[in-house]
Amino acid sequence: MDSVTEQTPIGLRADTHAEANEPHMPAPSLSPLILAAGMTMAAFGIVLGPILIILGVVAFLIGLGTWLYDEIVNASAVADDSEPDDAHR
Amino acid sequence: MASISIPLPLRERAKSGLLGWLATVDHKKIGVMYMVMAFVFFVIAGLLALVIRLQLAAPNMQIVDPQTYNQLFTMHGTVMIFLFTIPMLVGGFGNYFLPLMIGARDVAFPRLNAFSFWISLGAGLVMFGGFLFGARSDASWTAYVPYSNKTFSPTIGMDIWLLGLILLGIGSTLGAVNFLVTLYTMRAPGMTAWRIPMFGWAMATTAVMVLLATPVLTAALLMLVADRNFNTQFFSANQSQLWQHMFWFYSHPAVYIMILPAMGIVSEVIPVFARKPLFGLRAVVISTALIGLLGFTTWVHHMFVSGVDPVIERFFMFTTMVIAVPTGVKMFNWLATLWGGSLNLKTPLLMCLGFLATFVIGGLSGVMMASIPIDQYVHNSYWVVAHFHYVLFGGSVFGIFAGLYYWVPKITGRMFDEKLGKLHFWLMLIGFNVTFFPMHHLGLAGMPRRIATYAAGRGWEAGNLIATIGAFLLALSVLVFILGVIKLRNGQPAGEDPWEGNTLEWSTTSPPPEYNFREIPVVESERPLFDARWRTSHLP
Repeated sequence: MDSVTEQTPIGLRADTHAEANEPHMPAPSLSPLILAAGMTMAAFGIVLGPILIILGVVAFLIGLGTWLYDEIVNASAVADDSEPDDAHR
Repeated sequence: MASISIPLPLRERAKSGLLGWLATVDHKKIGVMYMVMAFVFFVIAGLLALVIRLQLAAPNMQIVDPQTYNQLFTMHGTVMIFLFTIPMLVGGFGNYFLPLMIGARDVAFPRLNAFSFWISLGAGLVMFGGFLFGARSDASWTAYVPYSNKTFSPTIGMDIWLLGLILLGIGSTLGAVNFLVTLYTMRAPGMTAWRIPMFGWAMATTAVMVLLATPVLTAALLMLVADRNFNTQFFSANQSQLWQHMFWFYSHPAVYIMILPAMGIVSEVIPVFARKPLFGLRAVVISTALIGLLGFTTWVHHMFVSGVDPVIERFFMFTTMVIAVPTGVKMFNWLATLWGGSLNLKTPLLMCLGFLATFVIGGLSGVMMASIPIDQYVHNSYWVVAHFHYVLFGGSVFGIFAGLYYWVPKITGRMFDEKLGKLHFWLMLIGFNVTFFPMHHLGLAGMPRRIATYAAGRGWEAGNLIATIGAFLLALSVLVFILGVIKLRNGQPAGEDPWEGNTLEWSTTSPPPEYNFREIPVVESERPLFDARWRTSHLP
C-alpha cells in the first residue's frame, strides 16, 4: 500500500490516531453555550434595551474566559503527557 | 498516557442526560441537535403555510388581516430557508456524517462547532420569540428596501429579524470554516481527493459558497440595521437597488447552498440502492464545483424588473442558462447510475426518484425564467412561487428525507418502518404536486404572489382550492413521518450496515461510539465498504 502522503495530493495530515488504542475525545464544555447566549443577548440588547447588552456582555466574557481557561489547561496537559516522539502536525 | 480530563466532574456528568447535550462537543450529538431544531422549525413554518393556504383557498377570505398575512409569509420563508433547510442539510447531515464519511473522529474544531449550533439556535429562538410576542417583520424574507426601512417597517420586529439573521450568519460562517478544515486535514489515510465521498465534495463546495457569500449578506444586514437605528443612508431612496444586489449576491448562491448537500445525499443513496458505482464520478464532482462557481454569476436574474442596464441583464441571462449545464450533467449521471441497476426500491431511493422528478421541473422553469422577456412577464407572480418550491421542496426537501431514511438506521440503530416510509413518500409526492403545480397556471393567469386575498371571477379559484387541498396532504405526509419516528423505538435493529453501503460511516456501529472508529480506517478506493465486503466474500 502506498504511504499516506504519497496517496494524497492535497495536504493530508500524518495518521496520528491509527494506532491509538484508547481514543481520547475533546472534553465536554458549557463555554460554547454560554458564549453564544451572551452574544445573542447582547445583539438583541441593541434594540431591546441596555440591560440585555450588559447581561450579554457578562455572559460573553464568562463564556470566553472559561473557554480560554480550558484551552490553556488542556494545552499544558497535552504538553506534560506527550512523549518526545509524539509530537505531530 | 494520561487522559486529558479538564474539567473532570463536568466530563463525567456530561456523558448523559440534559447536561450531556448542553455541554457536548461531539459532532454527532451536535448534528442531531441541528436536525431536531431544523425539523421543529420545519413543522412550525409548515403550520404557517397552512394558514396562508387556508386564507387563499377561496376568494375574499378574512382568516387573517393583510398585515398578519404579510408577517406569516415573511416568517414562513425566513424559517424554511434559514432555520430549516440550511441547518438541516449543512448543520445536521454535514455535522453528523462528514467526519464519519471521511474516517475522522470529530470535526477540526469541536467547541467552535458547538458554538455554531448554539448561536444558530439562539438566533432562531429570538427571531421566533419576537414573532410570537408581537415583534414581527412583515417585509418578506427578501426585506427589500424601502419596505424594510424605518418608514415602512417602523416596528422593532424588523430589527429583531435583521439581528437574528446576522447571528445565523456567524454560525454558518464558523461552521463552514470547520467543515473545510476538517475535510482538508482529517481525512482517513488513503482518502485522496477522488476518493472523497460525493457528499463530502458537496459539503466542501457548499462551505466555500457560505464563506464567500455570507459576509456580503451580513454586511448588508448591518448596514440596514445602521440605516434604521443610527440614521445612516446606505440604502437611501436613490440607492435601494444596492440592497437588492447585496441581498441576492448571497441569496442566489444560497439556493445552491440549499441544493448541493441534497445533491450530495442523492449521489450517495442512488449508487447504494442501484447496486452500481456512481456513473461518471469525476463529472459529478466537477459539475458540483462548477455549480458553486457559476452560482456567484447569476444573482441579477432576480432583478430583471429592477432597472438594471440591459447589457448587464443579458450577461446574467446567459449565465443563468449556463448553470443549467452542470446541473443537467448531474441529472444524466444519476439516471445513468440507475440505468441497468439492480434497483432496491426502498424509501431512500423513492425519495431520490422524487427528487429527480420534481427538481427537474423546477430546473426547467428556472431556465425559462432566465429569459428576460419571460421573467418580466411572470415576475412576482405565482409562477415564481411554483418554480422555487419545485427547486427547494422538490429538490432540497426530498433530498433531506432521502438522507433521513438512508441514515436514520445509523443514527438510531433502528430501522424505519418501511410501510410508513413509503406512505410518507407517496403522500408527499402527490401532496407536493397538487399544491405547487397549479401555481404555475395561477402565475400565468396573472395572480401576484404575496397578496392576502383576491376577488372572485379572475379564474384563480380552482387553482387555489386545489393547492390548499394539496397543502393539507403534505401536512398529513409529515404526520406519517412523525409517526414513523415515534415507532423507531420498536424498530428492527439496524446493525452496522443495513443497506450494504459504500462509505465509511457504515463500517462502525449504529449508532457510532463517541470516537467513531476505534482504529482509523485506511481507504483504498472511492467505495471502501464495497471493497471490504468483496474481500470478505472472495478472499480466503
